[in-house]
Amino acid sequence: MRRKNWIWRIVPLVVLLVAASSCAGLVEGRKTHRASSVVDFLYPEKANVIETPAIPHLKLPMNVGIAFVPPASNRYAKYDLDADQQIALMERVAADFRRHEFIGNIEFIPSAYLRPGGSFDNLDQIRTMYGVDVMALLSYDQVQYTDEGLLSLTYWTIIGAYIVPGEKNDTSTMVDAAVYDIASRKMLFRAPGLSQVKGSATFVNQSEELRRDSRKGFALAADDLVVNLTAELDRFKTKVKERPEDFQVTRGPGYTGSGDLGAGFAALFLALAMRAAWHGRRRRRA
Amino acid sequence: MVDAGGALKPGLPVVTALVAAASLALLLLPGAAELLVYDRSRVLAGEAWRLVTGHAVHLSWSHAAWNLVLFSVAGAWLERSHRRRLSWLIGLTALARGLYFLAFMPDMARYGGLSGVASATVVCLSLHEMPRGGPVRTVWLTVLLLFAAKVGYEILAGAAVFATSDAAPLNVVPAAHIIGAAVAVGLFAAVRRRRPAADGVPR
Repeated sequence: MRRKNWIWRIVPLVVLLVAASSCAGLVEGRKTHRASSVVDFLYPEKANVIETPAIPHLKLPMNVGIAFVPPASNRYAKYDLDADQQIALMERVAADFRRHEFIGNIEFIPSAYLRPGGSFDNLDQIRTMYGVDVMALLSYDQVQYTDEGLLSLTYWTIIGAYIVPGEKNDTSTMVDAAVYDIASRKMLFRAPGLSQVKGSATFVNQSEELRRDSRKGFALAADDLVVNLTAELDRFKTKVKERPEDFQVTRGPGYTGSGDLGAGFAALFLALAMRAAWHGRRRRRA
Repeated sequence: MVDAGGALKPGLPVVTALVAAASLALLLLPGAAELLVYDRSRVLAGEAWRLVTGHAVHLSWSHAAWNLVLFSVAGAWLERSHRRRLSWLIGLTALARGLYFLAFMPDMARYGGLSGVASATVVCLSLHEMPRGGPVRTVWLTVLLLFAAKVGYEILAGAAVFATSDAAPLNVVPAAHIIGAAVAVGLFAAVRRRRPAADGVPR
């Protein structure tokens, strides 16, 4: 009889402990991380190897390949970005490149042609296959944090898990475009795109909401990437112009030439011509 | 308004005005530039006038602006004293440049721009004005040195590859400027040899 009473005292305690541990499970945040890395792709297992890039020899117009860097795991690893998202982003990057006359053909390289850790050997193969001189390598890094808010206590009512958005989601995304001259192994320029998406979800539609936030995060980061890429392309043109020791530039066949003496020379000439005219007038008067 | 002897000569710079007006008209009239621009494949197909007319075609307003300003000022100045010489200069520069492009620049499919003729005019004007002596000589010598420095920079640095206009990036061709300068020097030397000036001022 005394023993039976002892069990009845323990049962509520056990229930309380189980409930408390469940609450702890709810309160502790979750993290999802998806990423692909240009460094892992180009320099796999080469932590201590330093490659010395040569001076890029840019033949204008340049043929550009655009590809997503594969995730590091294995060549059949699932891409976190679906094909539609990848193509949409590559189209936007290509449109930005096409604005410039020094860009020739643009090729979208299928993901299957790039192997994880393929490095420049893989890029050399792409160069031969597609005839591209320069590769724009797209990579991404997305982290999603999920925390339970105070509203998640309503999940105990079961129905609360369906209708109360107690999950707080935080999605940080970075999309990066690194443009390499394949032959010289030199990075010409890079442009990042960043985004931050905050959202909430019910316990039941949490995964669906996370997927939506993920897509939105990539889309916003792509917007930012395109803005930065435009600026970087313009900066690259200036850099090539101002630092001829760093870039050798030749023109390919079929370009349009032009004659332009430029504003600077014209302004100096006008100033000097005015000076000469003034001297001439003074001399005639004398 | 100075003639060869130093006296003022009346008259409008007709040749300069005609060339500048033609360049402007080609910008304004849709389709006209396409008929006259230097286009290598069409020249080889028999449209030989493009060798000469390409210099009057510009790719955009900003491309035309400074070329026209330079040519108008230098051309009008030179024409007041040497109208016939300016006419020869324009014709020879346009032809020499077109032939050079055809013979030695097979990769260049098209070309437009007055800068070759403007270069020739600036160099020719400087050469004609320099012998007058005094501070004017220094001014025109400075013009020549600036021109040489600009062309030298274009050649050595390849900096003009990405020169831009409001419409499109320009592949500036330094050869056009060099040919213009060479024609100007050649014409100046030929005239000087033919008619040496008694007063030291070349005719």
